[in-house]
Amino acid sequence: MENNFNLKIMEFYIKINKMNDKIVSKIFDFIIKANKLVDLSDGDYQIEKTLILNKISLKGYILDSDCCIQLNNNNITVYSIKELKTFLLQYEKTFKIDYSKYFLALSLYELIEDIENQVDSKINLEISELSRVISSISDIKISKNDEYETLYYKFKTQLDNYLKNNKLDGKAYNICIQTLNDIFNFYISGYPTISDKYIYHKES
Amino acid sequence: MSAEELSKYINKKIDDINLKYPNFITNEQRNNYINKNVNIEMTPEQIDKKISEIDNMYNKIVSQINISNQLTQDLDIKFQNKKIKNVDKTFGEVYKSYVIHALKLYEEIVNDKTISNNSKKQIFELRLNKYISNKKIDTNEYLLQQIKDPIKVEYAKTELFMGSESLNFESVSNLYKTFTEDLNQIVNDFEGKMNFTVMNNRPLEFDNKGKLISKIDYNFNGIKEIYDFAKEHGKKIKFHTFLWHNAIPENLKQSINKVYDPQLKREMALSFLKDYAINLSNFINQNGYDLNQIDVLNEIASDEINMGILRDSWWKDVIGKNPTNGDEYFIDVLKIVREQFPNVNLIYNDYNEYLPYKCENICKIINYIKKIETRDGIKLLDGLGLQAHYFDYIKKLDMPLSVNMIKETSIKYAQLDMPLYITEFDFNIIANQNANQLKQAFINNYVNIVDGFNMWGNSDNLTWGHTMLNGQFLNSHAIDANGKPKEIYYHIMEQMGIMNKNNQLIYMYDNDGNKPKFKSDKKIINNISFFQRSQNEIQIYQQIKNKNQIIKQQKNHQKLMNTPKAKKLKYDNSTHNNGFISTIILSLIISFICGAIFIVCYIAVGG
Repeated sequence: MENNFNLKIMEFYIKINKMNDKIVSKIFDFIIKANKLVDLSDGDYQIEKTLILNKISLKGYILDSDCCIQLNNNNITVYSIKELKTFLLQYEKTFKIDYSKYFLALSLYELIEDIENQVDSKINLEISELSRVISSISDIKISKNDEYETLYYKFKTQLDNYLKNNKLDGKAYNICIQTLNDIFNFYISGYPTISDKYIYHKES
Repeated sequence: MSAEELSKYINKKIDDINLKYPNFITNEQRNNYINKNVNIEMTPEQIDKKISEIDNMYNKIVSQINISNQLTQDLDIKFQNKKIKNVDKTFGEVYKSYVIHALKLYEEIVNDKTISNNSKKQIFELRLNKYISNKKIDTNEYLLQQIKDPIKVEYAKTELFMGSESLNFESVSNLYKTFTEDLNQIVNDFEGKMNFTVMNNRPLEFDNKGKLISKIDYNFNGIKEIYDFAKEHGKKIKFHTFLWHNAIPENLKQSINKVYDPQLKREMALSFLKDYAINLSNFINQNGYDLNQIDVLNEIASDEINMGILRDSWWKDVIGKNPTNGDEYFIDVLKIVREQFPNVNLIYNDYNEYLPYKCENICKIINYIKKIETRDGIKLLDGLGLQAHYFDYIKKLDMPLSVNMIKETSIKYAQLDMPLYITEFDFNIIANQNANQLKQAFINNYVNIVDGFNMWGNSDNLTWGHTMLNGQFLNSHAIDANGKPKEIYYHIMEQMGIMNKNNQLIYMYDNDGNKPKFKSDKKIINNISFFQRSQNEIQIYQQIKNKNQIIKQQKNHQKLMNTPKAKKLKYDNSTHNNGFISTIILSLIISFICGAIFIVCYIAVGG
């Protein structure tokens, strides 16, 4: 492959790094705000390990609010997040109670969805860019879990051969390996998780 | 022009288009077009040709945008005038003619520039009271002619003018607002019933085959006043009601009851009904009214449990089944009306529709009519009218009305696959916890499935529901005694998607009637509701919740365990007492020693 191809891989790497930084920053943002919610909710909400568990917990917490219970009792069960914010605001004003914890919970929920979307975009971009080198990389989208290992080694062998035959320089090869790992990690483990140090553990 | 200038020209045209219709051409489309159509090697002739092509495209696009904008404006104006977004659904009220007269009078006085604003109220109320007094006298004379029974005359007078004393400038101004801004269909009250429209001034004569030979004097003046006002304001009209067991002209009854031959009776009744339908049709056409619906059959289902499908009535006895094909009596009635009103929606209207046994009867009638329609290839019925007079206690079943009854019957009607209409809504239930649940069930289950909604009467005072029950007014209407719509009014309209007055959240009732009430904006098209969760999610959340509660307890426990033990100063009684005694003893000893020293010194000095 030509030099400008290696250059393109470098450009792609910079782009992916920027996306990664953005995702990491959003996750930290989530952790900081989630900790705040732990306090505000007086422990009714706790930070969970995975994003999906956090979403379930946040949604459940919000739907347990008096406002949502009342909506349900009145058979109002079709509303978007935007509409729910308006309902909560009205409820807050009418009863003169502080609903900031629920607003925070909603914003955390939205933040998780944003993180998931960013990760999806990043993975799609990685697959799209890596397909210039490994044309069949998108096979991972239709493969089953037990096929991942075979698929990974197939792609890695391809990359090793490109390096051997000087079709990829060292830097480009490393970037491709990193990208390949990132893609497979996503398909095997899912969205990024929250580090253990931010999750409550019972002190021994 | 150079290629670069051509690019600029294209950009300018696109900017113009996007100004008229934002984002009509996206940046991507813009760039693609330029990349495709402009290149540095173009000859002047090619550039000229391209410019001409671009100008043609531009003109076409702009003219299409203009047409589209104009259509949108026209539609907006149309909706603005009617104040109703969904012009296909009807939303109306049933009016007595004196109420319409009050609205008409109000309009006249308010628009009369010769009357000062300060005097309008006084003049209106004077003129209205005079009108109602005169109308009562005229009506009394009319009633005496129509009805022989003096008790019935008294009852009719009370019913005819019920609530009239409540009409004042303020309440009428509010009612006028409802009439002009919200309603798109007006229905007449008693003045359209046969015992008022057919004058009882002479006997009816029929030939020996049952054909009507005498002329009938019809009195459509009562409904004329209502329909004229409706027409002036561009409202659709519904005629109530063609056939009703409680509205049989006396002279018709007398003529037919004298006859013994059932076939002759049948012919006489049908002949009369044809004459009635023709005259009603002539009245409608001559006055150019926009007649949308007719309640052709009113309350024909049996109201008794296990006593057959059809109500026993004079009409049923007299018309009877068709001797040729065995069709029920009401099929002939529908055919008569259909012939005179081919383009009007014919309705079958009934009450207690939320009771299971009544629902069954009504559905059977509808299915029967549909079978006849298929057999004869003729559309006889265009809709089912559900009166929606709600009462909380069902005497016949000796049980209260339940939410389940409302839900289940609404499902049965929805399955009929026929346009449904709420025709005479009022809510005659004393406000209590149950009332709100029943109201909500009605709105969620019935209002959700109907194509039209009419209220019986015009306010809490201007309706038959204005009665005392156990010392409480029923306040059964959706509009209060001052003519102001209640929240249920707006809720109904929004549930039907008819109107959204001010785009703000409005309230609806909850179980105890005290807490705030919310409305949902039902504009969710592509988004899944936030409320939606799978069973799995709910179970997982429950586990998380339990886990968090345990964590909370653990934290509280830890907090207690980690609280440092504070040093306390103890109050010791014995030590305190011992200290005090020691002080006294010491004082005594010191005093003794001082005393002894003094004596020794005194002796030594030679005292």
